[in-house]
Amino acid sequence: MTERKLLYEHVMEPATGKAVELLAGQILRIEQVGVGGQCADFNCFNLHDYKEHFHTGRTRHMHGMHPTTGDFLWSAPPRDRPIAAILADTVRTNDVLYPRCSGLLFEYQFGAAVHTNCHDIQAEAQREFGLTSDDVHDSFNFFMHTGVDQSGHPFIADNRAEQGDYVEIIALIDLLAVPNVCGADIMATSNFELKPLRIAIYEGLPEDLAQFEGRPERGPFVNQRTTADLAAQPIKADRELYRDDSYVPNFVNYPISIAEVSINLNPEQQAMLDELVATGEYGSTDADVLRYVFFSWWISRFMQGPKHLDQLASD
Amino acid sequence: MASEDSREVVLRLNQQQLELVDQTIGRTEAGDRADLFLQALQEFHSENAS
Repeated sequence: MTERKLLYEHVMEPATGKAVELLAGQILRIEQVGVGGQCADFNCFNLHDYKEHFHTGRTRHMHGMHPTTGDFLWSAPPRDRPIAAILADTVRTNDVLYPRCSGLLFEYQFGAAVHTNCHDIQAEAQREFGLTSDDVHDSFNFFMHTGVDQSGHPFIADNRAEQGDYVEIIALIDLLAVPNVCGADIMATSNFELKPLRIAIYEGLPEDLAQFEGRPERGPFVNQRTTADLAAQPIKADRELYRDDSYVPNFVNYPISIAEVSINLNPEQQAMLDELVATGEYGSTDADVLRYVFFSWWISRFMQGPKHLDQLASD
Repeated sequence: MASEDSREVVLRLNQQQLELVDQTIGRTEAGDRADLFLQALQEFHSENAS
C-alpha cells in the first residue's frame, strides 16, 4: 500500500487549538497522545468563503448524533453540501449534539469566570486567519462520548479514547480546519483531565477521495448554492439592524394555493381506511388519514436519505 | 367511477403536494391521482394494519 505523504504535524497543548489550511483531498488526523481520553472540538470553513462553514444540525439530521467513518461533515444552508468526510475513526464515540463549551457555562455552572473553554480557544485559534469570536460555530466534538436519557436530556459519559486512537477527516473542498483541545476539565468530557492532542495533515491518496465520489448527497443540487449564487448579496458590514424601505417580499411558492382531489373508495378500501382511522394514529377524519397514509407511503417508498417518521410508531 | 356503495373522500392539497403526486404517477402503475392514493392506501394498510 502506498504511504500517505505527511505535510504537517503539530501537538496541541491543553488550552490551545490550531487553525490549518486543509485543501481538498488532504487528510487531517487528530490523534490521542499520552493517556488518551481527550475530546477535540472542531470547526471548519470554506477557505475561499468563510460564510460557508460546518453545520452540526444538517450533519445530525443526515447521520445521527454520533457520526463516524463514512459520514459527511455538512455545511449550513443555503450551501447544504458535504464539505468533509470521516475517513477513519478508531473509537466511534463522536458527538454533534452538544454545543461547544463556553465561558458562560463555567461561570454559571461552576462559578469560574475565567476558565478554559472551547469557544474562546476556537476564537483565539481562528484569529490567526482574521475570524472573530462571533464567527465560531457549533462544534463537531470528536471522541466525546454522549447520549440522551429516557427523559430526553443529553448526558456526557466517560471518554473511551486511548493512546493512539485517532480520527481522520478528508477535505472535499478547500477548508480552514480548526481543531482544539476541549477546555472542559471539570466536566466528564475528557475524564476530568486536559491532555494534548497531535494533529497531522497528509496528502490523501486517490483511493481515499474515491470512497466519497458518486455519493448521492454530493449532488449537484440546485439547492446546494454556491458562492457565485450568493455573490449578489454582499456580506453585511455593520452591526446595527434597520429596515430596508425598498424591500419587497419574494417568498418561495407564495401564495400557497389549495385544490381538491376526490377519491372514491369501494367497500374493501373503505374497510381499510376505517381500520386505519380507528387506530387514532394518523388523524381523525377520512381525509386526514388518507393524506397521512399517502405521504407516509411516499416517504417509505421513494424518499432519499434519512427518513424522519417515528419508527417507534410503526413498530 | 362512483357507485352506490362507494364513499367519496375529498383531499385538500396544495400545489407543491399535487406536483409531487403528479410526478409520482409516472413512477408507478397508477393511471391518475385517485389510483395513486388507492395504491398507497392498499400498500400502507398491508404494511401497517394489524
